[in-house]
Amino acid sequence: MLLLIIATTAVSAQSKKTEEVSFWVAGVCGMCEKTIENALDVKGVVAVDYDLKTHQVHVVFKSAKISVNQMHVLLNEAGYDTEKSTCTDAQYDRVHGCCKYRDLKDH
Amino acid sequence: MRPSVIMLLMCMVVSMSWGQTISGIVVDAETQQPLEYVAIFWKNSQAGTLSNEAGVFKIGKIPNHNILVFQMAPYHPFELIVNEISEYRVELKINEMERLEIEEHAGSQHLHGKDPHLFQTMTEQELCKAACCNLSESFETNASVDASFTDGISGTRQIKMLGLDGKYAQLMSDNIPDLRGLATVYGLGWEPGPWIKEINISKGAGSIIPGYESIAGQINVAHKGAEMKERFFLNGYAGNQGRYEWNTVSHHSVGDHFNWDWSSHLALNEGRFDMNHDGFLDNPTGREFNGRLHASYEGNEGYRGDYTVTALNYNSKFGTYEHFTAPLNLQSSQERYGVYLKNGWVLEREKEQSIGTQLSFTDYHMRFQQEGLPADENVYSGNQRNLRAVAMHALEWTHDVKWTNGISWNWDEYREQFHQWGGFNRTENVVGAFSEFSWNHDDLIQAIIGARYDYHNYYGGLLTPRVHLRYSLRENVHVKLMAGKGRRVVNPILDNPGVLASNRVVQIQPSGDYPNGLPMESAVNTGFVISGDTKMFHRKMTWSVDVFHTQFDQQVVMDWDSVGYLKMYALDQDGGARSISQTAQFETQFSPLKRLDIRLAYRYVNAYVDYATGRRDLPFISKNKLYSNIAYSTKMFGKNQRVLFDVTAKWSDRQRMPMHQDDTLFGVGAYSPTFWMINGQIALAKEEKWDVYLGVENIFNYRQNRVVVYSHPESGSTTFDSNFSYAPAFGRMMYVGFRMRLGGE
Repeated sequence: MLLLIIATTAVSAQSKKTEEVSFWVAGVCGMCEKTIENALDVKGVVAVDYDLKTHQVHVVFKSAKISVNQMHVLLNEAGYDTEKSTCTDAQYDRVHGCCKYRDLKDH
Repeated sequence: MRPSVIMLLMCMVVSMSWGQTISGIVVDAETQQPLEYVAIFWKNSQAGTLSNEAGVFKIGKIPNHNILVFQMAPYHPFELIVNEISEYRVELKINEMERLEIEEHAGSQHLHGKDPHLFQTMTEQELCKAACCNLSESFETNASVDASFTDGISGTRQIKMLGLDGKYAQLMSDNIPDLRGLATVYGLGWEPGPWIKEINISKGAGSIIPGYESIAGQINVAHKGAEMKERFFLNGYAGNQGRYEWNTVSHHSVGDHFNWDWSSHLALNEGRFDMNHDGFLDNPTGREFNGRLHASYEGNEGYRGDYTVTALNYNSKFGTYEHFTAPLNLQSSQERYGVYLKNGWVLEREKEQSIGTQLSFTDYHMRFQQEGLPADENVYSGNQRNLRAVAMHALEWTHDVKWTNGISWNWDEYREQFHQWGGFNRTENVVGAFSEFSWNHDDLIQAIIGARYDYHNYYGGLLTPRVHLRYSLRENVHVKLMAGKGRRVVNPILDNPGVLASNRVVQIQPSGDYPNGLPMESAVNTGFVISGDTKMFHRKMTWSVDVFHTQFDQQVVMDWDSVGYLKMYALDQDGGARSISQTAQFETQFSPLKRLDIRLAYRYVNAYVDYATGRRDLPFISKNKLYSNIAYSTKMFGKNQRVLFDVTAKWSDRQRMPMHQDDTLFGVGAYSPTFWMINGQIALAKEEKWDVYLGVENIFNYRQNRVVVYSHPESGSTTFDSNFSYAPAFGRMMYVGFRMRLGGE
């Protein structure tokens, strides 16, 4: 019964118009995946899925509440470069040791 | 993160000053396409780099390191031994297992869709959802495995799978068959939950390699130990039933090749409660010590060794509550030691080949006593010593064709003593050979065909074949068909430890010149599975339907239906008697909202046996069972913290009770009532650092009020029987606990 209520609320909550977008984000490990998905766990985002193999993040969102540009900013803020914008050194410092995608690459 | 930068700088300095730069290109072995973002680093160092768009890499040589590791999911990690400064071409092969993991990153409990076995993994995260003191309690959130009490007072739990007792499932510890023979039932209680990394559950006969002893399924426990990220793991637990636990796992590296870890477990049961007012303690009191020491060595030449030593000591007391006029005290004490050695060599030949050996020795002592009944009835002691040796060779003929062959030897010495019978011993000696062939075409169809032939010193030659097929209807819809034989030898007392908590007379009707007069049990299991995933609420939704049919062609029937007796006799196969268990299960998992996961399952079981007195359903089996689990986590706040909520609700249909003298005695008649069991937990967690949790089991306080039939000798007749347990006697249980992970990266 409870489940039904939850399920119906979920359906009605998500019946409003959503859009989808996919773009490149620099991530190298499972921890990156978690951090990236958590960074986009904000109002307006309905679902996030980061694919480590293709380095693509797939986002389902409500354009009335969040823009794609804001997502790039959020990811930079979490320390991750995206195809559109690169984060500052200070932002990059937040990335965990095993996720230092840039240092490793620049070598 | 700092050290890695420093190391990188250092290696740059080194490479500039000495000009020792290793360079090359990384490509996919199959497509020959260059691979970008492959992590390349010196083994056991922080110095590394990534390959660029063209698959090209450059890395400076650092002192004392000459193994370069190439790593990227879903490829097999590759180790390159660098003996000279030059250019290298590295080809990476796809790792099928890894590919599955990546594709099926579907939560804390997931089904391996493409594996031809029906294979389900419960991760550590899933195990954290239950109070989960030990393995027997860790299936609370799994719909395929049920755990129930063997009797009303000893607190021993046994599992059921596919409508069959847990003794028909093969238990393994890090892929070595363990907890066999006398330890089959009790063994589940000895595996502390906090030591476990994950549990792999395979329904149906499963792989032939570990032996012929699986009929309903295989359950493998993988330990945290060496693969733990943190240095030290600590868990404390306290429950209002008077149970306190302390668990540690610690991990150390010595040099580049050697790792070791040790785990400890201490449990105290102090609570003396009689919540259902039947005059008997609801839970046993006592203490348990358990330790495990494991070391692994990884050599340069493709060698890996795992060496494990375990020790256990468990004492418990149970029986009548303090103020009972005529006390009945029972106690059991158990001790077990084990040594497990695993060696593996990867051979560098044209075809990928490996050789593996397993050698294990266990020694188990068990003693059970009753005090209070005349002549100390039902005193039992048992000792099992087991020695097992296996050697196998695995050949990867092509990427799609694999072949594993091996030989095994198993020796079991049983020394048992039961006051009703006196001493009875047997020594089993089994030599065998096995072969398993796996063929995969285009990722579309896969077949695993295996067979083994064993020679048993009592039961002669035994051929055990098994077949598993998988066909992918679509990229994400898989159909599986499986059929296999399984067999096992009966241990008349400890297969039914509940009988010790009674004064039932255990009676065997011998049917041949076998140990204890009992034939070997053997059954054929066939199964059909269809599973798939789809998008729902913009997220992944998985579903599966499985149907299994298990039919015994030889079985020792355990007949609990004569009051005061447990009778054992061979199934009268020639007389047309059948023993069949059929199950159907539907399970789905979806996520209607962010961070909200829902799992629903329904299971139907039809299990019956033609007893000597007619066909009846197996006792203590719910024909219908409903199961649901809801897990919600809040958004991250503060420094990677979140609150997790978890609720599990289960409904059990009525269960047939063994026949008893007085139907009104339990108020349950021939069948138990139906009931709901609801558990909940709230946890506050800081990702990969610590968490504290608070939980309630059996929120609605469902209790079985009469669990034991007991009439004191002075009243004229002596009856003592606690084998009518279908639900907990204690009722609602609350617990708190914490987990800490220290010294991570």
